[in-house]
Amino acid sequence: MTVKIVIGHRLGKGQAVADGVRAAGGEPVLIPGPGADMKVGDVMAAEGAVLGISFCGSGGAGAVTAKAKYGHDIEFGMRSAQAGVTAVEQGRTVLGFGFLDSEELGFKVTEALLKKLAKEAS
Amino acid sequence: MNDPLIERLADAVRDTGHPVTDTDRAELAAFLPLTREYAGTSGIVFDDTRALALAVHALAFVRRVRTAEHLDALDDQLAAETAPGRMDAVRTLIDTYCAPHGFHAHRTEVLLLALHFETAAQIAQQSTPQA
Repeated sequence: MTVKIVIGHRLGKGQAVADGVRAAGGEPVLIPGPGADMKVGDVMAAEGAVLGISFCGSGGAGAVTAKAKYGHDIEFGMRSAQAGVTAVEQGRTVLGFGFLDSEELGFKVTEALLKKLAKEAS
Repeated sequence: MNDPLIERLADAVRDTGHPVTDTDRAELAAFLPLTREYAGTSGIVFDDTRALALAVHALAFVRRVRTAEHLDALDDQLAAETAPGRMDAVRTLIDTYCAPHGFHAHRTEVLLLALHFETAAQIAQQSTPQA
């Protein structure tokens, strides 16, 4: 099963997070270009992705936009991979972080998501 | 009277781990009018999406001011992407809010808020029919 995770970064970054997602067994969809965080909800809908991760200075704009447009269950203002893991375990589908382009974040969040999906399927 | 944008923001983050509090509301009610004043004098119109994005940024900002938290520095070249005078004007806006709180915001805060205005201005420009 392919589990797509959309990544959008305000400054057009996010490659390290995408590498982490891939390393954990997910399929990253990295939105190119500046302002990508605001497109996370749209790209999730277009790609049929189960999770979106947005990055901006305050960690909220992309997630709140996805909530307003698509009704996603969100968490925002996060600053650590562990906060993202907790949010996934709580069933959040769009995660808003401050600028934190790390492979660890992508890996741990994907690992938590795959574990959750496997548990739900069993 | 309640600010409709603050209510939209409160509704959007109600079920998160960081819902809008009464203190947040009071501080947003002081800060958001400053952003509206600058947007008005600069001819910048925020659509609904950009207004909500600005509001959630503002929420995080007033919380950082309250806790005297500073963000890490960003690539200063980003400032070159803002319109002439934007950084200075936003610095004035931010200092106006921060002064009574005894807080001096670093340049990162100015840059992040300036980028919100810049994006809104560019979107409005793109959606305006050319003569």
